[in-house]
Amino acid sequence: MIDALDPEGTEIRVLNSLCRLRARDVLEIGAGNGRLTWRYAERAAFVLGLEPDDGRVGRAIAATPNALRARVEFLHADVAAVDLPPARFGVVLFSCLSDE
Amino acid sequence: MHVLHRVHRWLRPGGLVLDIHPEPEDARVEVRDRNRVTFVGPYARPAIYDNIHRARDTLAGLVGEGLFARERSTVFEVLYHFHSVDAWLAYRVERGTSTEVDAALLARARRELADTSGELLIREQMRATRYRQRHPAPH
Repeated sequence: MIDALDPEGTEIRVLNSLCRLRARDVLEIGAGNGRLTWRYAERAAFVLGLEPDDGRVGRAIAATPNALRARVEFLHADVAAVDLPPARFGVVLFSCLSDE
Repeated sequence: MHVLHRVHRWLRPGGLVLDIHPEPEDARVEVRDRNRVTFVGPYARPAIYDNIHRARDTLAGLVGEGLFARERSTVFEVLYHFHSVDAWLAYRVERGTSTEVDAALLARARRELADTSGELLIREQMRATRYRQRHPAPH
């Protein structure tokens, strides 16, 4: 089902054109089930994905490739309440599509 | 404290915010059968348009306050592909989608897809914008 959305990879091409994510620490807000995360996480140094829906977080964790488990984390959290250290991330990513 | 003030604090000096969201306009539903594309109708999602405008206004306000600099912005299109209307509806259930789809639009899509080997396409206009953090995080 996930491949139904943007199999052309347009979104990640646009993302790459806006920012080099290589070796950056990325905070992804509204990471969902990792739809976009898997398309860039290989290049990032570390990714923390925040998602308020615990079902989606569970699916994202379950789908995390072994090769990425050391540097990709998903957290069931409300961005308005979560406690994160200051000056921790080089990039904060918000990505929202209407049918997800 | 607004979420974006929190984001400002979590960013390293000069860090980036990448904001990708739909344009506040109707998407297009089409049926494509080989090289023939038939427009089925607009996919209206008025429930999200206000949210998008509010988020843009908030970011514009923070740019005005000097917390972020708006550096680049681009509009692009993403496509959703489904082999049937039911596959689209199942996808929406799986994703917990909150927007609604007009029943008449679904009926038209079913009619257009009937007796073809075509696929259902949804075209959505998106905007991606890069902002750079400008000042030390406020406390």
